[in-house]
Amino acid sequence: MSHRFLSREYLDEAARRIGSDADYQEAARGFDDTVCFVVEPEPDRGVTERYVAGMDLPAASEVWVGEDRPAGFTFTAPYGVFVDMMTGALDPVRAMTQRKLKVAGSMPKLLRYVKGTQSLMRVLQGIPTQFDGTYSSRDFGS
Amino acid sequence: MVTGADLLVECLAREDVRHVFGIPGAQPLGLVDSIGRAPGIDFVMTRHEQAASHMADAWARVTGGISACLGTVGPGATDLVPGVATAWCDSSPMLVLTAQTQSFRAYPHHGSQQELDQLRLFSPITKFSACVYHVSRIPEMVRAAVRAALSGRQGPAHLDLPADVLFANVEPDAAWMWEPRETRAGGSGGLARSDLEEIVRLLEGARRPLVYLGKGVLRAGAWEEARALAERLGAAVATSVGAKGAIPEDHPQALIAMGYGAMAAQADSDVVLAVGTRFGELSFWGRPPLWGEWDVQKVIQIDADPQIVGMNRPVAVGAVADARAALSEILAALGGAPARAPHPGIAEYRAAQESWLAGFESDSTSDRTPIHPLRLAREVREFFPREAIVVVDGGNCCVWSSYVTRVYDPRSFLWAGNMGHLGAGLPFAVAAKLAHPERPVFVLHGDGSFMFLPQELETARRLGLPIVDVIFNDRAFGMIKGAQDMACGSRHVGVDFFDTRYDELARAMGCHGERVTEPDEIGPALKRAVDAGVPAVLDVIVDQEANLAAPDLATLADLWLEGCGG
Repeated sequence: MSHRFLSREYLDEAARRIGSDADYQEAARGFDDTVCFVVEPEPDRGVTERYVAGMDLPAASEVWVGEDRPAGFTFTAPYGVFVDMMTGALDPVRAMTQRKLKVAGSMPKLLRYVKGTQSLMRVLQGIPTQFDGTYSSRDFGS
Repeated sequence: MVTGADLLVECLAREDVRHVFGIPGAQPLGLVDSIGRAPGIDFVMTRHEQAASHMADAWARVTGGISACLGTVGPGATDLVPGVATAWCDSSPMLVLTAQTQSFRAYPHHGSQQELDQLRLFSPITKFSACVYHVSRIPEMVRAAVRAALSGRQGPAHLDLPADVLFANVEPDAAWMWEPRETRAGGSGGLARSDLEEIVRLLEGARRPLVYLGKGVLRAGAWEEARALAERLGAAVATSVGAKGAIPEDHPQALIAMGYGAMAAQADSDVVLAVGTRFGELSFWGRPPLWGEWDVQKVIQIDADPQIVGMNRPVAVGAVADARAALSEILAALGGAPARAPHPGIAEYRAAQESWLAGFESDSTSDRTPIHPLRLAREVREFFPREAIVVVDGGNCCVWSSYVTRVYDPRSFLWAGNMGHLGAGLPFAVAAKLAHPERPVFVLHGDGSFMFLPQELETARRLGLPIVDVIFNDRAFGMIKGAQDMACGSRHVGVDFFDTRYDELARAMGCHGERVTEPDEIGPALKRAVDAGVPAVLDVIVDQEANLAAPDLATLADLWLEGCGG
């Protein structure tokens, strides 16, 4: 079943998969922090809503949506950058170094867990996903 | 009577120029003859002038001194250009000597064979470029050229030498000969008092200081002071890629250049003491997020060139000073208090570095055939002792070697980094071995880069310089082919080679040569290469598919193609 990106249902499915993915849990072991994703709207691409979502990692035992809750790491980017990352068109580390993805949080810790980040992206890329606006042409999964 | 050439050679000798690298020609016949007759200065014939200028560059990098390269008028001069441009980009001093047609035929020229406006040719890539129009001005012009080459931000200086000036006969006392020390500015080139006070205040108040060292530290001979200061402050230490070896890469406070540990330190430190670096492209321009935010991270930048200070990121203190003098003054001003323990962030940075390096363990120990390039790079570095001089030519072997090739001594890592000129590796190694015959010298080449100047194997053989050249042979310009995979939908144009036997090419020039195809043969082949006692080439067939996908090639491509879409 496909979910709208960053909807409550999407986050619940993400948490379920993250919590049960042994490879991710191994790659992110010791991370123990909270992350928040702030997705900026792109009205000219039909994305009118600002999305905020967060979770604790690596357990993903708690997720929240629509709440600007303080987190250990906050990742902020326009909607299209997240679409590029979710579809594998843009590596998250390169998104950061290219300054397309803004990061607030401990850079030493983030760089220590790059493999965990890449593993997290693999898990998320396995979730059938629907995107907003003109990005719907890049929906994936079924 | 002496000739103008004799006078020039005496002036070079006074400046401690011990080698002139080049190829003779008609116009410089007298000059080469004078060098051949003079004690204490040698003419080193190369097989291409480009190699001559690369050798003069390398001599400066490994000794801190200065040498010269020579090309005859026209093609000899133009052939010098790639090596001079490389030295210009990496701030490496040398004297560039070009013969010119007679002074009464030149500037403007009017039909001599090989005539060329060499002043304009070299102006953009030298700190000083002048024609010596009269024999009596030779000493003055040599002094001016050397002064320019060695002052401030160092670099090449050019003298254009008309043939009639070189052949002119003059009385031995026709020109004033002064000692170099009598013609240079004195003083240490240290810090202004107000800058020193502010630097000390910032460093003493820093919670997570970083000492960031560029090639200026190597040129100034300031590595001992840099290390002492880092230890006194309990600071993390990172270097630019070109300055590898400014601190031993296994020092407990050191972080590998461009590695995740260094990136973490660069982003996280509250105060950065940057010495002899311009925060160029391979230092990620000094920009967030791989450096701290402009308004949070305080940067103290010390450089010999005022144009460098503040060029790529704002500074809290910008100081124009000699690196060694400045670091000595800071150490003295900090007083005799005990050294601080390494700050807690260093453990975090090293954890990031270890995590990053762990990702390479599998490939660096791979038993697969064809050989994984990382296995080759690791075995080569582990084979040679700490004090070996490491030379890296162009291509993806540079990327692979960055993960496993540690440098432990200053002025022991040679790479034409800022120009990225393919082919510099072999002449760099020849000059390094000439300067330090007691130390092992090895070169990591791509097969593409090796073939730019392979004829210098004959130079090495003739001079009796047993260097070891290791070729990462993927039968392609691998770095570009990999970039075509990323940017051009894997459409490959102009990148694939015919399978060439580089080992046989080496043997044809009297060198040792072997082709290596199995990973467990790398070590024994290296031993045979060293035992051969002559220059050696190991032509190692590496896995092309793996080689094209060097892990950080995408990061480099992002830097090179920033703003180009995609």
